[in-house]
Amino acid sequence: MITTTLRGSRIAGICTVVPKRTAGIADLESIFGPEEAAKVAKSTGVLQRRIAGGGLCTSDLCFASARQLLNDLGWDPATVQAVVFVSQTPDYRLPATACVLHGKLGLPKNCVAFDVNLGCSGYIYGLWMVAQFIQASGLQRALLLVGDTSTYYLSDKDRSTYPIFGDAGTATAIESVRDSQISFALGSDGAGSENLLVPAGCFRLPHNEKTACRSERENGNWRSDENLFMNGAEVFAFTLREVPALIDGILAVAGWERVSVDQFVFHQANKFMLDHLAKKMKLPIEKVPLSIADYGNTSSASIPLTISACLREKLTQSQTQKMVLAGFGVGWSWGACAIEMGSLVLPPILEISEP
Amino acid sequence: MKEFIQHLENMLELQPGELQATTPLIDITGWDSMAAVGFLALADRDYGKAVSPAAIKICKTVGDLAALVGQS
Repeated sequence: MITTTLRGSRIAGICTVVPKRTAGIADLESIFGPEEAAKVAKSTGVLQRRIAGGGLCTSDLCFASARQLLNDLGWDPATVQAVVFVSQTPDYRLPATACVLHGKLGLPKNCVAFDVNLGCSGYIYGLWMVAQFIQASGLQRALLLVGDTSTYYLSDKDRSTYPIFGDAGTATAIESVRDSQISFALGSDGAGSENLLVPAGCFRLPHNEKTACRSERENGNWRSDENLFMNGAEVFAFTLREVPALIDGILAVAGWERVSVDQFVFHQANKFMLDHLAKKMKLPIEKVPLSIADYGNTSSASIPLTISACLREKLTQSQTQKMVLAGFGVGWSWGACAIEMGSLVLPPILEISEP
Repeated sequence: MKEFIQHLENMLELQPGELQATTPLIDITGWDSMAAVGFLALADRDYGKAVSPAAIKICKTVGDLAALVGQS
């Protein structure tokens, strides 16, 4: 694990935007039948997901989040010196979606803009990078835009993915301040890269007629090579292996006692998995907020989304809260941070329609 | 083994006594990919064992699963 404590930055605000279109249990019943739909919902804890559709892109969700957040913070776009877009659902092969968003948001030329391809762990990696820029390069203000529209990758005949994933985009404003620090712990294990994978459509296996064709795979699931594949058992085994050590690691780096932490915000992978992890790590249930029932697994967006959905009352107060944020999954890639948060600008979750 | 079978019956929401060590997994209603994930949780929670999903795949009977968590 890479561990570090970075000084001089704080989160000033977070905004989350989701597509207006929803899909719930009725949608699953129509595809898989009532019995199977109930069983899947029980095992994942997902009752509803947000679906982008109709050409609504991750960048549209992140743009709306960023615009709202800049407005609510009273930040002049001309003062933003970095925009980092973390996603696995960019607008184009090139250019970087961060550059497109830089233009749309009217950000200045003295600003860095680039994309990062990570999912479940991406929010933590994004925070880590931005905190480094602030400490090492003296940046004053940065936007971290994180989200995914994973539902475009799904086959609706695959029970292992379709009922779980939802779409969301987020913006996090980070600013330079004195007397503030964030600790990080991060790791990777590429041996797991085949367990969460979209095999075709890029350069290793370019799109052709065959890659777009669905066929029957394991357990009666149907998908194409351009759809998302997830080996749920391997994901669960990975999580059991790495997450308890990650939490021990981040508490050690920060020098925090487990009981002193106010909230543990985990990537919302699956309710069954989070319940099991919380019990295993002896975390009180009231300290582990869950948004998965209403929004599903929103990949990189799930940590800021959970903050927007569950912690507005706590984090808008001036009294700071000791927070541990932890993301883990696709890659395998994982990361956690220990951060004190308070006085946040945290607007309610917004909805936008398809263009 | 008796205790392990009880844990497995609970997990699969079966009646006590429905499973034996020799019961083939293929004959158990509800033994599917989701149940395999449930078994990983059971192994971790009740036996402190990190079981690999690949090892579950080659199990044929309830007894084979028991062996994965050191029960016989």
